[in-house]
Amino acid sequence: MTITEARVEILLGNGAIARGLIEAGCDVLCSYPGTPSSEIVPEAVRFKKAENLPIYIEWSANEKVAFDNAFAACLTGKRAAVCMKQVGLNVAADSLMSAAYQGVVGGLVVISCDDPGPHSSQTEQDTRLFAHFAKVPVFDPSTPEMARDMVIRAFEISEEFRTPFIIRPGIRVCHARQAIELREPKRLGRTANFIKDVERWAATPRYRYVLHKELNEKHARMALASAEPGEYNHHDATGNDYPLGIIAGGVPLANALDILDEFGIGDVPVCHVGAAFPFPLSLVEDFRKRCRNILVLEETDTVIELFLQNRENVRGRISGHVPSEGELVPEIIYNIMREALSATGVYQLPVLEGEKVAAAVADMNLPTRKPTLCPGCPHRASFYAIRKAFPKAIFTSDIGCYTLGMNLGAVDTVLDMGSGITMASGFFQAYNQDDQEKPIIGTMGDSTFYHSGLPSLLNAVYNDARFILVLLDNDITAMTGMQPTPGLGIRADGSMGKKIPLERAVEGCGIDWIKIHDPYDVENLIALVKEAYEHTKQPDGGVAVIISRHPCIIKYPPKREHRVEIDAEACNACGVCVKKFECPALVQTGKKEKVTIDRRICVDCGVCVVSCKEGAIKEAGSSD
Amino acid sequence: MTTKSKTTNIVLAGVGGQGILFATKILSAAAKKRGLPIIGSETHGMAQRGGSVVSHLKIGGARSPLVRRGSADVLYAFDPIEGHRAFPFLKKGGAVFVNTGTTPWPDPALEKEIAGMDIDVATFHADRVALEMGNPRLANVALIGFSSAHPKSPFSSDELREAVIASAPEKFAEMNMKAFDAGKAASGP
Repeated sequence: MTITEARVEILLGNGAIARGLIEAGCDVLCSYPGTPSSEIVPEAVRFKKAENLPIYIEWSANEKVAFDNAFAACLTGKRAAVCMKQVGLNVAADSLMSAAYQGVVGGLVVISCDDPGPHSSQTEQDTRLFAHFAKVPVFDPSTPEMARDMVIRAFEISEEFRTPFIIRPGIRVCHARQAIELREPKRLGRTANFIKDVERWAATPRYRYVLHKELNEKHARMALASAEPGEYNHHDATGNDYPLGIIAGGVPLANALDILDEFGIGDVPVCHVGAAFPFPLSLVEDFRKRCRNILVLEETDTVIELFLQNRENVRGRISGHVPSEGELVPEIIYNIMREALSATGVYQLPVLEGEKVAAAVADMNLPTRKPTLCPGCPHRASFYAIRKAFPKAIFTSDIGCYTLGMNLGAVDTVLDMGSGITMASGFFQAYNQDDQEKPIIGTMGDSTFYHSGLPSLLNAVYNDARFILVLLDNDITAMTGMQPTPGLGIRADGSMGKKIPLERAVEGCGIDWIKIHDPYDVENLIALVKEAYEHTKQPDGGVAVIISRHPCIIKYPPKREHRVEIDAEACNACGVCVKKFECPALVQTGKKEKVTIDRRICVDCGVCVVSCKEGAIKEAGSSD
Repeated sequence: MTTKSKTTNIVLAGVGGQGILFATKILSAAAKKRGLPIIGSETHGMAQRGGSVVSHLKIGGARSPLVRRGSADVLYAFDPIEGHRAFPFLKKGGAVFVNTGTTPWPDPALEKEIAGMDIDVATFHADRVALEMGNPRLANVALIGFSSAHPKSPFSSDELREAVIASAPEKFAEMNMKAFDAGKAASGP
């Protein structure tokens, strides 16, 4: 099997999705970054520039904002898309639910990237269930190439049925790489033309009832279409009485098909459910009835399994054969299939190779490598100072690289985007109610502040909460791959937009006490945090905000001025720097061993100097 | 669906920041040049911040991107500890290329379990070579260069060298090539 090299590109799954948007003639793309969705926008920008396409692309302030912008665009008759990580859909949920009722004019495709594992998210929620809840159709791609094709098809169905359409690639689609043959972008040449229809676009509750009825009718028609054997929903059972049949969708489907191929197992029919909702009931039921036993493989929750009308001979999550949490990695799918194939007498797969080696490796107790802030990360300096100033404070934090401040003992809570502020005010009110005084220090990154910090801070000020807020301003959305922020003013395509400095936004929320400080100057930051606490205790005080500003060292690599060295004679091997400062470039191999610097990763920022009471860490001469 | 299909499965393991994604790109480019279908998987997001990073690459018509335990033909270990962690991916008769300054590798603790698996182990201190060249970040390409002359390398030295040139940003191409050549030279005649 070979493919011609011409026009073939090795694309990341997210690049394939971006390609689908381009090939479908999408006019408007709005997004807020979040793993595993973040590369869709940069890839779309790359195609836009390379092929000189008119598509408008923006990084929006948050997912709800992104959704509404795209929705408006589709009301003008254009094709629009909005993409986000799966928990971003929670932020945009209000918009999605309402948009399902109102319907669309031009196609509207919502890409919500799921994260079974989870690898980089706070939940493993299954976007297919969200689609069910919102009464919006959903595609569940198995591969990058399928995701690209589904984007194009989704626009067509979206316009045919006048409904938003969700595509939910899993992380193994988003971050897979595949060689894909590119097609020509569609140029639809649509011009904006919003046709007023107040009853629909500004529907009152009374008309919402009518819209709901219309949605339900649409839905019934879509369900019929979904159950027609087609590209994404189909099965290959021709006879009856198969001992075992597999119903699967998404990445687990790809894994199951690969295993059947690898071992040449030809007598197990497979029912593909790539369009999971509206559920293709008659198709799947026809398949189920042809098989004596059924194995359901889907991620992350139960959709296919729930819809089955009879689960007597069904292996899945409800029956306990498939784990209900975590990613269905190939080893897990292999063992599930091995059991099912063996128990139904179809085939005996060999014992999974590598198990004994895996057990021996587990016995080695290899050091676990937990994620850490990078060497030289300005957040480490901020957390070190915060913790030094108030070791016993309650530390509320948020989503971003700086969640890793927990390694320095300076992060106690992370709920969701914005909670670094909202939970700080919540803790304050709960303690204050009992007249208890408690230092509370919230931390939040710049991008997160623009995303959902604004209403949170405004609320805290309005309700007279008292806490310290340290905004970790590194001029970038670092965790998700260096997307620009409104504070930087650079837009998705690299052009300059209007810059909205953090301090102006903070001031606008009613904050009177704002200090800007470079966290690399740790000693003075410690003093500043203490000063901030005094402000929170004054009768006419309030929330004190420190903007801890230093650029991300990955995005903006610093110039090395001094080489950091450890004076081996002065080092007493106490290990405080390793534990409290927690820089991965500081290495202590054993309890009584002297600390050394890992020159491979040290960036010579010199901030660690402050963490050694013995003065053993020094900045010497010039760095190489 | 009655014939067994055969793909070449590759795993790359290391620590965030070691350039595993770039090494994966090089191998993908070599496969693409041959016109082979490829699918693979990468680690992004939080785990990239100094955590364990594993890349998967399947060449030859697979649908799923992850390599199953016990089915990798080749393992590139950019860090000795991560190499141990990823060792169970290897299948019987596989090969591992590891960047390590300490031998023996793998740890004797694994000896009993891997005896009889017929796995080729090739160790090379790519970090040292890269540091000598003045850029620790070149260790990834040096290891690929080192592996390229091995009989179990999925691609020839020429193919990989060309893939390095094709994958590196222009201003780093020469530096990367030097690292590749230094690695290859270390594999000796």
